[in-house]
Amino acid sequence: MLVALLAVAPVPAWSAPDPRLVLPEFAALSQKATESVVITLDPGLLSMAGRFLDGGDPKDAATLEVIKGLKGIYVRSYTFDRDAAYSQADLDAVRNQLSAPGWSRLVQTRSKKTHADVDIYVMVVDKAAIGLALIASEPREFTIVNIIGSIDLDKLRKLQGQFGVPKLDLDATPSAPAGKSK
Amino acid sequence: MGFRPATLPPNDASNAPEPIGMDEQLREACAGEPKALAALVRANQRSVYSLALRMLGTRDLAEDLTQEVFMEMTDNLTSMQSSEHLTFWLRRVTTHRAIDQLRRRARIEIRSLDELLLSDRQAPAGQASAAHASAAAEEVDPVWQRHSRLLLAELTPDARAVMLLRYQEDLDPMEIARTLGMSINTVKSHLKRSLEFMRQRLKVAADNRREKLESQLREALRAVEPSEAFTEALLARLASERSRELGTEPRSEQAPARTGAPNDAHDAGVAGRRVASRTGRYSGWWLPASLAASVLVAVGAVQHLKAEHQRELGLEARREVIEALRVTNQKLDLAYQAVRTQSIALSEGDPGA
Repeated sequence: MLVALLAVAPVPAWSAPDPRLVLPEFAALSQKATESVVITLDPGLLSMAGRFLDGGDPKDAATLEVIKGLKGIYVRSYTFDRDAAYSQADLDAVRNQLSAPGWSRLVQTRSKKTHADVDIYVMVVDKAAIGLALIASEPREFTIVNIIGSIDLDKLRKLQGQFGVPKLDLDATPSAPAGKSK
Repeated sequence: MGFRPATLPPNDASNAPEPIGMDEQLREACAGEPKALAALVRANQRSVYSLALRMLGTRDLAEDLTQEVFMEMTDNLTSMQSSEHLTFWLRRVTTHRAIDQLRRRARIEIRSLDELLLSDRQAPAGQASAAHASAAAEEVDPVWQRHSRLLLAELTPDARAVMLLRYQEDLDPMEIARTLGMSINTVKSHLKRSLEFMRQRLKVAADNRREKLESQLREALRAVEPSEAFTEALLARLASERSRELGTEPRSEQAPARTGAPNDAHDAGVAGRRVASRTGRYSGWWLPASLAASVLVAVGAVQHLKAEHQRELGLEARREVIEALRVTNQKLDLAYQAVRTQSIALSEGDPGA
C-alpha cells in the first residue's frame, strides 16, 4: 500500500534552494528581553515601503537602491539585561538550516575581547547571491537577519552612518590591540 | 450638580499664557456681556477640548464634555477670582469629569470615524497655531505621534490626566498635584511609570534621553482646536442660557444656522446636532440637511479610511526597512572590525604575509 502511494505521488522536480529561513518565535525570550526588534518585511511590504521612500532625498535614495531587488527582510534581535539570558541552543534551530545545500559561510568572526560572534552566510545560485543570513551573538544580545534577494553589501555599507550607526574609518590604524579576535 | 470652584492656591504659578485683558473680559462676562463670554470660551476651548479629547478618546465625547464644562463655567462665573483661577478651574473640572466618565466605562473606543476625519483636518491648523516647532519635534514621525496618542488610552485615567497636564498643558508636577488633588509624589510616580511604559511600547532606544522623549511627547500631545462649527453652536447655546438667566431674549435658534463648504457640513452637522439635541430645539430643515451631509461624509470617509490605512502601512514599512538595514549594518560592523583586526594581527606577526 505504502509502495503504491509512493509510486503515484508526484516526484518533486529539482527545485532551487530557498534562502528564506524559518525563524523561531522566541516567545519565551521576548518576555525576558529588555529590548526586542522583530521585523518581517515580505515582498508586498517592501514594495510599499519603496513607495514611501523619497527618491529625491539622498538618504532615502540610497536605501531605495539597497532594497531594489530584495524580496524580503526578516530581523529578530533581542537584548537582555544580564549575561547568559539565552543559550546557543536557542540559535541552533537557525544554524541547522544554514547547513542545508546552497548556503556557504562567507565570514565567521569570534572576538575574545567582546565575546561577540558573527557568522555571515550567503546562498549563491548560478554565481548570483540570492540570500543572506547573519547571526550575531553577544553575551546580552543576539540578532538574526535573513535577507532574500540580491543584496549588495557594498551599497549597504554606504548607508553606514545614515541610520545612527557610528561611521568607522576602516582605513585608519585601529586603536584596539592586535590579536583580540580570532 | 455644580462643581464648586476651588480656591486658587496662593502660590499657584500657572504658566498658561494669559491673554491681555482676560481679567477684564471675566468681569464683563460676569456682568452679562455676551462678547466677553465668547472671548473667554475661545481663549480656553483649545485646552478644555484637547484634554477632553485625549482623555476620552473620541470627538463626540470630547465635544459633549467641553460643552458641559463651559455650561458649568457660566453658572459659576461670579465665583471666579481671576483669569488664572478660571484656567485652573477649567482644567480641574475637565480632568475630573473625564476621569469620572472613564471610571464609569469599562473601555472607551479610542478611534472613531470622527476622530480620523478630525485629525487630518485639524493637524494643519494646530501646526499653524503652534507657537514653537522645535528641532526635536521636526524629527517626530507622524506614525510615532499617532502611536503615542493611542498609547495614552492604555494608561489609567489618573495617569492619563497627569501625562496630559504635563505634556499638553505644560504644568509642573506641583501644579498637576493641585489641579488633580493628588500628592506630589503620586504625580511624580505616575509620570515616571507612564514615561517608562511609553518608552517600552514605542520601542524608544535606551540611549534616547528623557528630555528628547519628553520633547517628542509634547509635540505629539499638542493641543488642538475644536471645529469652528462646534464653537459657534456652543457659543450660541451659552448665550441663550445666559440670556434666559438674565431675562433677555433667547438666541439659541441661531445655533445651527451655519452651513458651509462640504468639509464643514459634517462639523456643522455633528456640532449642531449635539448642541440642539441638548436644548431639544431642531429647526425643520436641519434634520434632512444633516442626514444628507452625513451620507456624503460617510462615502468620503470610506475612501479616506482606505487611503489612511495604506498610508499608515507604507510609513510603518518604510520605518521597518530603515530599522532592519540599521541593525544589519551594525552587525556587519562587528564582523568587519573583527576581520580587519585579524588581518592587522597577521600582517604584524608575519611581515611577509
